[in-house]
Amino acid sequence: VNASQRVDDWLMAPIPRWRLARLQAIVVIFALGYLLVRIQIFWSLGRNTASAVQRFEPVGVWFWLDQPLRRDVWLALFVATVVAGIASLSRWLSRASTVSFAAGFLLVTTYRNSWGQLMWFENLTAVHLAVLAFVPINRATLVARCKRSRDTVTGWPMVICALSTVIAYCLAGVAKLRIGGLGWASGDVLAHHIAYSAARLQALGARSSPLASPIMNQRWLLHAGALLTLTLELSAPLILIIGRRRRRVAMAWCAVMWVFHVLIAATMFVVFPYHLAGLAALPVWWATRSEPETDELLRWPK
Amino acid sequence: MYASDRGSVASISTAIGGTEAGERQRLSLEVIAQTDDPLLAETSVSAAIAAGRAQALCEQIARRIQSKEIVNVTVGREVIDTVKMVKGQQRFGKLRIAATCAVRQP
Repeated sequence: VNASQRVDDWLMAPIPRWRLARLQAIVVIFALGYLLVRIQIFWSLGRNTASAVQRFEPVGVWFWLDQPLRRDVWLALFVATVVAGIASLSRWLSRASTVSFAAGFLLVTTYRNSWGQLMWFENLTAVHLAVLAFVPINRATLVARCKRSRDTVTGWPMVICALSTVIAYCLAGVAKLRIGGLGWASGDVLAHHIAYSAARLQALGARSSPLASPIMNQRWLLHAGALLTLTLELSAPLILIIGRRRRRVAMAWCAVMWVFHVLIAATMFVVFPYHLAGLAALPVWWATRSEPETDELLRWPK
Repeated sequence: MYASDRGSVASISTAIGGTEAGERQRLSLEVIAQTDDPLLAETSVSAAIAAGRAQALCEQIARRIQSKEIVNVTVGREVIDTVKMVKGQQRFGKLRIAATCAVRQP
């Protein structure tokens, strides 16, 4: 079997339809919840006050703008995105609603990032939404779509989502080596980031992590943390290969990456909601379990 | 992400309260920028300084102060040794002042 045939088999291998439907539903619910929880921030972007306009630095898909959107245009875009998200969770599910929500999420979050504060973790959600927008349509209720059944579909959306997760981690590792060099593994850079996050909070009158101070005195822990971070990030793509043969390795990697984000939140008070919710790693976990549904799985709680 | 080395010295845009005795006091995120997001708070102070609106911001912050101990506000860039501050060896950094203003008690 040649390499292209192997890749083809990997991408087109059938997976249970419900698994893909669940991933789509979970990611859409997360993205919709994310927009609604932060509605005040998104809504306020329409104010266009003089100070806000001065901070406007369009990025990504909005690079061509030379001034902020008109308030009514921005609010219409935000509302349309939310409506498309709700539609893609309902019986009105259609290719138009899933694609519109994916495109809307990208536009809305990129616009939010055009005011001097980049939230890079939103990009992975946007990529997953875009891939999952092409999941075969099944016009049924959300519950019916996600119910376990023997139906199978080609698993390429799951594999592409998993690939985008591991590539994102790998790129983060490559950037650390490219910019920080091997010195990144010493733990000093990590110490400076933890210290900066805590000191900035203190300087702005907020509470910083109580773990930041004790960690500063544990050089070995910072060194081990930096080494582990680099290893986990750089080895991420291998998990998709090894994990298909050894599922426990894939499960362990997903669990360790989740703990990694918990530690970032605990020491720096920097929260990556999509990763902390386990959604970045979920496709990796499910993609390494690409065999068709078995009777044994169907016996699992319905 | 977190690839470059920030070093241990950082310049953070913020606002600090001053008491009659000349002591400095930290102000809350809510008082500084009416937000609970430190990134937004710092960005708004930094943008005000860069745009020459530090004095106006200072007066806005002063109006939000409820504490009777604080008699003035200073807006500027605080140069901090972050590692020392986290270890509790430094409470305040050196402040490059952009604006100062008095707090008018009701």
